[in-house]
Amino acid sequence: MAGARRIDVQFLADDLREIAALLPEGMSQEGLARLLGQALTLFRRDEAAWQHLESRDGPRAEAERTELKRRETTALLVSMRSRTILSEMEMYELRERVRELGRRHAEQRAEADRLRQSIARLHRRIAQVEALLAAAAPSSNRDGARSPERGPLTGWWRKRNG
Amino acid sequence: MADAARPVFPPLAAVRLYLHGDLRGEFEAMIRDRGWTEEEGVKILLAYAAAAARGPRLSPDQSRDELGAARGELSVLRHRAFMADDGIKTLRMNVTGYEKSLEQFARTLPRLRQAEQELQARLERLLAEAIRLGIELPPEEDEHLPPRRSFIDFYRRHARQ
Repeated sequence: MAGARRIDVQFLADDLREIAALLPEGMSQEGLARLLGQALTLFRRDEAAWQHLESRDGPRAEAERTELKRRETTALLVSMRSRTILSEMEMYELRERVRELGRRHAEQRAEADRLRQSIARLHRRIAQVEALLAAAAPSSNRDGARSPERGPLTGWWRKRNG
Repeated sequence: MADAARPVFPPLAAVRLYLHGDLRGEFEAMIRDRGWTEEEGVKILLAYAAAAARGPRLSPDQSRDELGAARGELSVLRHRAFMADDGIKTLRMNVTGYEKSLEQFARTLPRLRQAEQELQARLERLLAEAIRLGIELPPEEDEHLPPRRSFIDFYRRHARQ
């Protein structure tokens, strides 16, 4: 629709039923737009009535003022109901997302920690084996491969651990 | 378990309107004057029509009671909306933080996995060489040994002697 302003809104279903009751021909975009036009006129008329009522006293004027306040407060309330529920739904979805992200984060951090520990262990083990190989190298040059019966070349670890 | 904790939200219903011509101009002037968003404008005005339609059926006392109840509920809803908006801000920051951290893991984890594989392969080559040379290998250090006692523990134990 060229030149038209499209507006999407959400109501609580119960609130929308009350509004739909004002559309005897049933809910339609045209019907809602027409009702909005009537509401604009009514709202402006009530605003003018409010100005007039402010200078009046007496129980009748007070009852009319109360009724106008009720209309406005009820309208704000209907708007606030769906707005609050939408915010709370968004908060719930976000909380679920944070929970899921937190779970994945914990898993990945645990894997990173495990890998870092494993890498450190491998470095230590490689250094240990390289030291043994280096110590074996001179005698290997002299005697060739050492026989397993001669035992380890370095006995320091056995003393330390034994 | 997660389903059990899932809150039950009242059902919402969506509607779409197209405003054009004079109605569009009038509506835009109204929401500008009042400082409403366009969604608020539509909701408030349509609800106003519904509230006004109920007016003639209410006695002054009923009108006053409904006004009191509406004010009370509106006050509660404003507080709930404020709390929800506040929670949303915090949760969005948490999402951003976790996403950045997960992006970082996506970069570092493959590197760590590759480094582990390469070191494992290197160690296996060295072990094969050591076995070939007949070197008796010391057992690997036990990673699960309790941490070494601190200097304070050492002092406590020996200062008493």
